[in-house]
Amino acid sequence: SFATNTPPNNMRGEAEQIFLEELANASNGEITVIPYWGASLLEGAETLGGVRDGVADMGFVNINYYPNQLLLNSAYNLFPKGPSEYENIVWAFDQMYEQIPELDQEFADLGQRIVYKYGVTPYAGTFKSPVEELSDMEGMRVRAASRWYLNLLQGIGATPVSMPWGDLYQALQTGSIDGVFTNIDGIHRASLDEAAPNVYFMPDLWLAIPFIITINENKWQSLSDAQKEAFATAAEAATERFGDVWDSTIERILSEEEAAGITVVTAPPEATETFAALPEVETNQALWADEARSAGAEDPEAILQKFDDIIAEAIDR
Amino acid sequence: MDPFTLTGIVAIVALLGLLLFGVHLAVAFLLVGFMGTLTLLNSTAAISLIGETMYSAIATPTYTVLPLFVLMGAFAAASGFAEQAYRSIHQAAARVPGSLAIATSFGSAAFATICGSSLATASVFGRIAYPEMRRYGYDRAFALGSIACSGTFASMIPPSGMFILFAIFTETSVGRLFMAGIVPGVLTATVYALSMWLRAKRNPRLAPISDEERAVAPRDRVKALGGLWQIAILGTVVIGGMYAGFFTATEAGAIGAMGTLLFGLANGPLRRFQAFRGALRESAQITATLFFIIIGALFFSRFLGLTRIPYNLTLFLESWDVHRAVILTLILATWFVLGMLLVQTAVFALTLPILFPIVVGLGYDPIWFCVIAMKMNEIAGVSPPVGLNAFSLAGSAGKDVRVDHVYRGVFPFILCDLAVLALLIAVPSIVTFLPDLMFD
Amino acid sequence: MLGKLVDAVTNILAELCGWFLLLVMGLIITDLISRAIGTPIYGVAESAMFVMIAIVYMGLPYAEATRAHVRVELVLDALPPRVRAVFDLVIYILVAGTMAIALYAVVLNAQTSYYSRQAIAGPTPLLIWPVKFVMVAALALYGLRIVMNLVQIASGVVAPDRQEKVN
Ligand code: NA
Ligand code: NA
Repeated sequence: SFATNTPPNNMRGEAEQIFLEELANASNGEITVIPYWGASLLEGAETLGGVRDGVADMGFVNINYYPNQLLLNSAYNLFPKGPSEYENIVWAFDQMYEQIPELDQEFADLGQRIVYKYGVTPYAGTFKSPVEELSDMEGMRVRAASRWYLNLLQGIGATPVSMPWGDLYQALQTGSIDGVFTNIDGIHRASLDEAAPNVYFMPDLWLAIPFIITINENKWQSLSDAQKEAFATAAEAATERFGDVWDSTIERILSEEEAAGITVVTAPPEATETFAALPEVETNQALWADEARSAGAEDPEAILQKFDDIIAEAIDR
Repeated sequence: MDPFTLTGIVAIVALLGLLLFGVHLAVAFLLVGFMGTLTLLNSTAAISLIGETMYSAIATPTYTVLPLFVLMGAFAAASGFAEQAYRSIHQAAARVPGSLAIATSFGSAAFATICGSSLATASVFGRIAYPEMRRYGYDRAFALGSIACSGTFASMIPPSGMFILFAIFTETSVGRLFMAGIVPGVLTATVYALSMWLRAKRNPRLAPISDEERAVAPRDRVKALGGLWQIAILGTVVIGGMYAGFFTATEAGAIGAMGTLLFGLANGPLRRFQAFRGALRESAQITATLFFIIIGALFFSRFLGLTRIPYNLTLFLESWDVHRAVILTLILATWFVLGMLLVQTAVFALTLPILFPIVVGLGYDPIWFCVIAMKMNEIAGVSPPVGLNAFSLAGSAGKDVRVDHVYRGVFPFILCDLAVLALLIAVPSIVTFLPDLMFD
Repeated sequence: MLGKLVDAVTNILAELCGWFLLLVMGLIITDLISRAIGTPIYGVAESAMFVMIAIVYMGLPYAEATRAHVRVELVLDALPPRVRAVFDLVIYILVAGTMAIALYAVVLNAQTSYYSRQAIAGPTPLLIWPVKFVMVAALALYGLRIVMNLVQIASGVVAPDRQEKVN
């Protein structure tokens, strides 16, 4: 069984469905997975524990839901600028887990292992009033999800706000916030661009965290070698297929937004550079390193360095 | 039949059995859900799931909306607002046949704009309106029926604890549901008042007109309506604030509770520390019992999800080649029967999470469907043998009132409810136009 | 003796719940105002949620003491008193058993939460375990309350006459 918090009919659902299909293909129908969509079995923040205890054999894990339990994995958030091609994004994800064994270890400590990773669309802001450049956000109340991004928003002069996802549409409409900063398919899926029709799209500002599917370790050990091999094959095939979906989704969202009369400004590379050069990026990394050290990590700076190197290489690919 | 489906069906039967034999609602959900998960998975997984659900089922910041409106209702009940509404409308309706009953209907509707609990409304009006109606020689069944049934407006007219519960079970917006309930609620109050007037006119023995009423001058009527100003302010701030989008439902709850508290203090009643503490304790008790039911219901529906019965049922109903109205009728009939036998929270906690996606899949409007469910909820609250509103009224109206006295008077009002229900089904825009206006 | 103590604690908790509700109200209004004037305070809505969870569990023993939990007594009422008492006993054994399981599960969950330093996602990673231990304590008291009711009902079944006199 597989538990996820996304419904099957959006971009994330598609990513996960493709993987399940490829898994059936790769195992010649030997492995069939019963999906529980839309948090019908486990909520987003419960999946890690649920997979560990066998409530579901496999589950979708969003690293940001577990700020302390997946602290090392959350380091992704500290690097705002990233590759903008899907292939390179996934390449970067793969490299990190290969070069930094501590990341996998966090999952192993929770009785599970990663079988698939995918990425979602880059960041965008959607605002009540026109935003042509970063400095237009000054003084605006802007909502972001992770604490790291809230700090960055502060850095560009906005007033960062935290608010539950479900309240955003109404909050935008009523003007109790001026904008929302998150991945562009999230904005479009929740129709936030309808309530605040000024989209500032930043294609080079990647949504750095990999979205992860894990499997319970005992379940994994009970599989035959051929079945384990099928997971690897499926992951590769699914990545390939989803890459096309990824590209076309961004195009589709942008054209749908234009058709709906929404102003879409695509940020130039300089805007991303400004973002990446914010002093808050460094203070975030220092804060993270402190927390990681007090949580028992031996050399968090070395981990950050590896992240930095890999992302730089991925951007240049 | 596969073992998953079988386990699910056995569990549903066991649950209904436990409920009928008097096991606490929340506990029955937890017990059956746990045994079921144990059967399908293993003990580690079952313990893990129940332990996690006990926390996560209610760990959502938006759920704080429920205790806030409960608090507002308790303050409103303790502050004499119901009495104010009742007396003002009675004055305004003087000399109209059945005026005291009409005052109960519209008074309950007015009180409903600041109180979200049907039970509280029925019990408060039982204390105020029942002695009054008896003093003027009103028929006992007529009086009790009108109070018990008018009490249900508190659920339909926002704010409404039951709508918040529906929103939790269906993941729809509380704000939209609140807006959608206004027109059907006022419509029902009007239909009730019309039926009361007709019945009192045809049979004056039901509701004799008193001499005091004959002395009421037109000026007094206008002045009496002025007595509603506090309720009008509170209701406008809460409902209007949400409608205009000044604040979210949760914030409206906080502001409403604060406003009711301030008026209650200014008017006097809440200055008595005992009354104030009583309102606090009552809210805490209602919050605890309601959320405990939510926890149990969500755990049970997770287990049911595990059996994949809801999923398979959806597939079946989507492929079942009948008109969607047939399915809707079946659902309404099920609710009617369950509503007679069970407490409403049980009926809807058990069925809404499963039926809602199906009905929406059939193309019905989600908000409209929740309002239809609320109409059935109102009927279930007064239909024998298990009608919570009738129980609560019988408990508050005095020693000489038994539940069967109440049941004797509810039937004509259930007929009114069914007429309104038919209208809402025939003309769905009665329900949807206000929330659509608000959001689009 | 124990009964009196449990009663006292139950009532204090219920009262505290009420004051906590006022606190929730205050927190939400603070959140609203702070955002309106452009200096949002982080974690207020989440804190309000934690207080609300505490209210729910701390109010359970009081709800049990006042028999406020929702149940259907349709069938029970139709039974002769003696049979009803036996039924009631069986029901309370089921309730006690279920709550024992739930308590055990929440204890395990709270422990894991403590050791893994589980925190909520958001601008301030608030630790979750304190509220989970409040749940444990309140559920334990609720369990005690149920056992007391159970003993009372059991003595009613064993010696109905004596029960009559007590009432
Ligand atoms: Na109401
Ligand atoms: Na009923």
